[in-house]
Amino acid sequence: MEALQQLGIDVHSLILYLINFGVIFFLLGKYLYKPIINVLDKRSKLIEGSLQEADLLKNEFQKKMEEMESDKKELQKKVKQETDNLRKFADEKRAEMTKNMELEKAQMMEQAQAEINARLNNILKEAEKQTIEVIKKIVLDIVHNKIPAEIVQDSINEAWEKEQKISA
Amino acid sequence: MKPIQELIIALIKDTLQFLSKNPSFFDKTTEERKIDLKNLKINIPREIIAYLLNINETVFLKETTELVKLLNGKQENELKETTFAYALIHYLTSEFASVLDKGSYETSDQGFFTKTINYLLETYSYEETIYAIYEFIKSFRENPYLAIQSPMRLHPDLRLNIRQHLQKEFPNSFPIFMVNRDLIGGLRIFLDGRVHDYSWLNKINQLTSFRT
Repeated sequence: MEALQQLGIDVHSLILYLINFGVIFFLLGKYLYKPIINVLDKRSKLIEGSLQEADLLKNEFQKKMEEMESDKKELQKKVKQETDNLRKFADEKRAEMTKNMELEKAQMMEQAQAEINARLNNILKEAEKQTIEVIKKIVLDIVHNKIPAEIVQDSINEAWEKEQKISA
Repeated sequence: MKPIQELIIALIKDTLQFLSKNPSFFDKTTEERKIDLKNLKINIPREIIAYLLNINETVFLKETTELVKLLNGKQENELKETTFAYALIHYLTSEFASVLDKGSYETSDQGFFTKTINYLLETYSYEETIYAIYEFIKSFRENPYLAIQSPMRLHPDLRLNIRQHLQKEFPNSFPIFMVNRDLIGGLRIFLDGRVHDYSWLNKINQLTSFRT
């Protein structure tokens, strides 16, 4: 005990201190620590509950995300397929239309050629007709005043003989 | 119809003048009438003479009256196809047509009818007279349209030949002769709707149209 007193430690004070500590500890424990701990527990539980819920939600969300991802992939796959089909259809249609256009173009060319030929023929015929008319005019002009009267008279007699033969 | 009116009036006048000098003409026989008509000093067409040989007075007067009405422009008449009309048409389409073709009428008598013919030949053109005859005949009956086109005026003999030939198919018809220099040569004949074209113009047209 003297060692302890040399050290400065008073046993009575120590016991008092210990009792004081105990009383404080008891009081604190009963009126402070327990409610606090309860509150903390509640809080902890709440937090845990929230965390669990959050986890659940997260899992659900994850699941949903996965589902969505899977749907999205499915959809993408479908869209791709549809796009491919559409592209294929468009290609086929384009090919068909190109073929039809080529055909139509060939027909139009043929028609145009036929029309050109017909017009050309008409023009040639017209030119021929006009040339013949001009020749005829020239011939008539030449023969009108140049034929001797005896030849004309002979032609008249010949014509009348023909008529008599026909009507006989 | 004016030239023909004048001709027929002159003919009626000469005929009536003859009958006035022979009042008992219609009481005579055909043979006696022939003698009277032979002694005529004026020229009456033989067709009219043939008519006078067989007709009686009543019919003659009636037909003459109707003819005068026709010449005065009265449309309704009973002269169609009577013997007088027939005789007139026959004269116009044969003997008178030859006179027209020749362009002269040579005879010694100086009767009114002869003078009128010569007057007509001097006053009216050939075309005017032939159209007048054509219209006169048409007023009696349907007259087929007969026309002969030639590049130059036909010789009277040829015209007579043509008339005589056409009379066989179209009795008492009156073909019209026309000059159409455009024909160049040959003839173009119109026969009651048919055309027989022997002209050189037609031949040239045929040659130039074979390709058009």
